[in-house]
Amino acid sequence: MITLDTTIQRNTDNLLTSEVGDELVMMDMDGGNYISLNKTGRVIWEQIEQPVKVGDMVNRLTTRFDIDKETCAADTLEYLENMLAQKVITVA
Amino acid sequence: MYYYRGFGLIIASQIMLPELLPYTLTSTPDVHISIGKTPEKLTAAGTVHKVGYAINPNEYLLQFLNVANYYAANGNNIIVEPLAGSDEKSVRLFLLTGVMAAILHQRNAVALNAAAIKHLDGVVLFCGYAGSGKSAMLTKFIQNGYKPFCDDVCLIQHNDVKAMAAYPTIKNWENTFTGMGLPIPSTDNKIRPNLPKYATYFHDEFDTDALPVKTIFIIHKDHIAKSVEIKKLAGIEAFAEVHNNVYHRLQIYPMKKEAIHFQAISKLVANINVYQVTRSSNTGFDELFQTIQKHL
Repeated sequence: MITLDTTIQRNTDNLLTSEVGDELVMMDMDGGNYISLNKTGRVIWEQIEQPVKVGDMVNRLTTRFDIDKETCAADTLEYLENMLAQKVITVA
Repeated sequence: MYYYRGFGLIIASQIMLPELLPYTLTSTPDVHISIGKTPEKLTAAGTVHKVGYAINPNEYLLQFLNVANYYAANGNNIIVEPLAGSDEKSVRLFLLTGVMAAILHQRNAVALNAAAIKHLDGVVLFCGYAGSGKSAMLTKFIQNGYKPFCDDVCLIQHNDVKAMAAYPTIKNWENTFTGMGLPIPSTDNKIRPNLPKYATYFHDEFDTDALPVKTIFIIHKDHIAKSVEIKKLAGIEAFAEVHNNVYHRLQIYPMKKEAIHFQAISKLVANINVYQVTRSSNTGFDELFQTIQKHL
């Protein structure tokens, strides 16, 4: 389970990415499945080019998007769990 | 030896292939097709064995019962072993579909199962599952004055978002001709002796240049739909629909070509319009034609 203390990073080992319009389309080379990240996902993706602690990322997003920290943390954690399930990110 | 242009390649063949464009040899052929004995099985590491065929990144062995065995290797060599009692048309049919698809994949080419017309300075593609009406739609557009570009397969140049036609032959079921009020071609044009499907040719109009892809229409047949419906696709929806129409798509996984196709098709759909157009099984091609024509 991902918490604010978890450090996460992009899973670039088996993932191909390509921009298609507003979406970032990704293919999991292991399973041959493809998924896309919406605007929220792309914002998170930009933040995790290097390994980052989730709490630090939530602080940055809170400042950038005029959203209260509690809501931002809840939404981010939920989205990150989905990204982990899709193997888009890994936990360091 | 016969020489042809086909699939964007110069082909030297011991088998006559009237479906392709004859070529006066001025450069080294890209692919050689010979008649001979094929391997009984593939033994290289990583070979995937299926019923009737085996495949690995560099080799493809198709053993088609009562027709022929085919061996395609290294993107440049095909051996055909016709079986006793087989007919030439059937031998050619599988050579020019699954076997040439394997050659294209071995060469890292990206091809779509598509019919296409020329429009303005580019081409418009019709994709869809077998029976969706791709070739029929191509024929309908030709009937209405448009020029054919290809049927069945075209190659995608994703670096400049262009398509190249494979060869100047269109294949239609008999009921397409009758439904459109067109004469049924002669029995000589049947693509297999006992199949009510006929080839027609456009060698004189065949364009060997790569042309810009303008739009792809993905044709679906839906038994519940009451009329033609059209929807513009974007992002992953457009990507998935076009990716589903990769020529002999199931070959790309054992051949390890997923990455090439992912990059090519995502680049393609990011730069063109993709529409999903759904017709009912009863919808005539007139309505489908009119709907597509409005969105060219």
